[in-house]
Amino acid sequence: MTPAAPMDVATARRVLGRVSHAQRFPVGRFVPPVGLLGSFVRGLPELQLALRPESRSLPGVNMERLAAWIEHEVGDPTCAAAVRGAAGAAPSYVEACIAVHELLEQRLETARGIVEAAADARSASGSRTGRT
Amino acid sequence: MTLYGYAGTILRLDLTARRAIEVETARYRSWGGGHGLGSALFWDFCKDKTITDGRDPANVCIVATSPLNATPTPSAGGRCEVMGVGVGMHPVSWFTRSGFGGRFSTMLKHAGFDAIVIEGRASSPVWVDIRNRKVEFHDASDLWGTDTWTAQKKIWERVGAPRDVRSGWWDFNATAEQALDPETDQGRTTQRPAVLTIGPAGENRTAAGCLIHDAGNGAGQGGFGAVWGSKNLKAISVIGTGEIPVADPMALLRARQVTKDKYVTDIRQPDFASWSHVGGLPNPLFMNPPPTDERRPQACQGCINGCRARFAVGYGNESTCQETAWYLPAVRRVATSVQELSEINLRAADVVQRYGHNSFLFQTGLHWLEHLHEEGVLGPGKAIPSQLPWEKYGTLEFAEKLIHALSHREDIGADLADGWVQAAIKWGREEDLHNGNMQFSYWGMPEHGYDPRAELEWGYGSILGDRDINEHCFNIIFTHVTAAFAFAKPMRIQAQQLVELIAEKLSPYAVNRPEVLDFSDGNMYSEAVAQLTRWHRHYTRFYKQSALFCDLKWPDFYNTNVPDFRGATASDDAGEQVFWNAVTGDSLSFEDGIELGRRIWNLDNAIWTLQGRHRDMVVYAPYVYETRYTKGELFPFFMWPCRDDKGEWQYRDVMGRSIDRGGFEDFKTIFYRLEGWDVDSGWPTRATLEGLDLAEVADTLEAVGRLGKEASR
Ligand code: SF4
Repeated sequence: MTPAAPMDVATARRVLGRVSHAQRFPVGRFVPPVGLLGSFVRGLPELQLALRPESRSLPGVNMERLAAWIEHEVGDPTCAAAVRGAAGAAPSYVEACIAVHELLEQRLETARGIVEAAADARSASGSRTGRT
Repeated sequence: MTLYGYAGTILRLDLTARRAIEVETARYRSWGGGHGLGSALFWDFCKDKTITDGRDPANVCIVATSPLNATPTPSAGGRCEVMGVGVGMHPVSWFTRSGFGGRFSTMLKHAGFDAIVIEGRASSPVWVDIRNRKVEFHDASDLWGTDTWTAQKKIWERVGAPRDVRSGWWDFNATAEQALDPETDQGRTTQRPAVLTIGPAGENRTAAGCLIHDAGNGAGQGGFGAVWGSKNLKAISVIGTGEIPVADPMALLRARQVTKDKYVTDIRQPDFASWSHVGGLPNPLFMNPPPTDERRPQACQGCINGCRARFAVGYGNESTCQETAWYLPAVRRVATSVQELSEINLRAADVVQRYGHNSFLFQTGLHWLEHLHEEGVLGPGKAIPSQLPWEKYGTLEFAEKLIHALSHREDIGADLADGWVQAAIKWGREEDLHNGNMQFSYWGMPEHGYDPRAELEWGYGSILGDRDINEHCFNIIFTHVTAAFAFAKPMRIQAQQLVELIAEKLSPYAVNRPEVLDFSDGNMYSEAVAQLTRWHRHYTRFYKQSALFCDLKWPDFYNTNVPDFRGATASDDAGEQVFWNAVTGDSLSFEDGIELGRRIWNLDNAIWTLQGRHRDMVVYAPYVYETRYTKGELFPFFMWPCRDDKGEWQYRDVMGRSIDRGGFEDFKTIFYRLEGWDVDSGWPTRATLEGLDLAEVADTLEAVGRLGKEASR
């Protein structure tokens, strides 16, 4: 599968949405030499920001658990499998973070496209039926 | 006799009588400076050492410098120590400390003072104006209510007034004759005064009240802003033109040159991944990417690092480390780009600086507030009522409203003002301290990010002392090793060599005993780790908090810039004691400094004992015992040198465990015995105190029935 693999509108909405507070996922940040900062994310857009590569710090994420979270809480098993594969193939933890970040970026872009297309289609059919 | 390294005078500010009194520094010379000086001054001038709330008028707050301030000692020239009874800790606000950088300590020495002792309470708001040993108390009613930046600006307008507009020089002399006579010359300067001030959080006596200097230097822990607020002290401004005598300037410059040539990475061929503390490249410490690369480095005076910046965009100036990310997890909820994330974060940093509000409380506290809100416990019409716009959580507007409310005791700020754990108890949320939803691990303070279940010396040092230690001496091991693992890079130093290099420096208690660094499960509560904890307490009490070597650069145990990897710490050419001796003319050995740290640490324990401390109170928050530190909570692994079953050293992940109550109680007993304290109470004994030339302290403890039992040694 690729991150751009087709998805239905419902999945796309889940990819762009937020899970409940109870379903949140821990993501830290490691800033040498002073600190580890804890936080939680509740959706893939936030996660993508949390995983952004930076020259001075590293994201803190348990990749195994992340894949499970995307599969079961976010509800995107395709993306979860891709995350698992990318993390497993990466030669280092840092490379895994970069790979997953890129993958999420593409997945989010795909999802945005699908949701926008669905909205366009709805508004087009709305105008045909006289609704605006 | 010349007191090399010192200005020679300590300033007592009696706020009640609005009177300045001078004390000779020579009387306190044996305590070194900084924290040692402050503990001794507190002992002498605080008349009621049983107080447990820093807002009590009997509290005495000390702002102290080191002999190394105003000298070119690498990363030790511009730090400043603050002490007194704190505010908002739990169950007791101990005699505690904080520190800040910038140019206040150097300016104070140039103005003629080594320390300020703040006593009593003014009847109405005041600010204090110090110019070359001339001290005046001014009405601060027009400053009261202003934020920390506005207050400083207004003071600069007043104190900086008589400048020559063309030259920019301010001549302190009234006449040309006075200026021309070396006996009477008051000097001249282009500088503006260094001002230490409080904002609304301190004025309203909230536990989050900080002391702020310039844009972003802050003494955050301990609630000293609330201490000043309770004393009606808005600010102290200081400017001076004096000089500090150095015993052996050549030796000082030689040691600095050796640091540069031998220990610091060669800037022409920089080693970006060097394993060193003092020898790393200058490192700005933002926990969030800066909004622009157009910035100038900003540092404490004399520093070789420059961990802060001033930005072309005009916000986020001088904030560093935790302030730059206190709001980050919330901002990610709303930010749509990295640029927006960065801007809201750094503007939120400005908000806490202006209100003089301690952002460290949000390290884990913000998650807890969000949790309460999301669980439907906190909010409009909820069990914990709050009218804050929680639907805007993550926006700058919410950050401003939150900090305003907390600084003014409004909304949930009314309860949080006296301490967050106190508020949790009041709100009936003690369960959160058990299940870890509220990670305030010791003394009512948030977990720092170096969980006591993994990083033992950090947790033990904090709970056996008075606050979250915030000392990265050994923590740098985690940083180097974990980063190398993350990048799958070869280890620059293998585990066995690393622990041996460090242990060489751990004189006297742990010298050449690498097992003190073994944080594996089987060694967690051992005599060895207790020796490491002792050494760390004593090292930091003197070298870091009294001599004021910056935590971000010292100690330097190992150093890959040097062929044999031996770091600068304790070395004969650029060790901490070399700088101390060059400045003061002492002939202190490295171990003498550790022993002085032990003396200071024992005086602190005597003060805690008078405040009501007992070993039964020395316990972590329940979650530290009841829940495991799970992988991925902050990072997926926490690497540390450990011995395996065969006794071989490896870097291993120490996550996934909790602290065992019984094991920790045994550890306390070992620690107290090693320290010469009563193992039943944790109180110091007469023999220990007399051995440190503190017989008078033993007499005081005995008079109130709180001297430790000798038999238990
Ligand atoms: S590293 Fe930062 S805090 Fe430490 S002395 Fe240098 S500028 Fe100040």
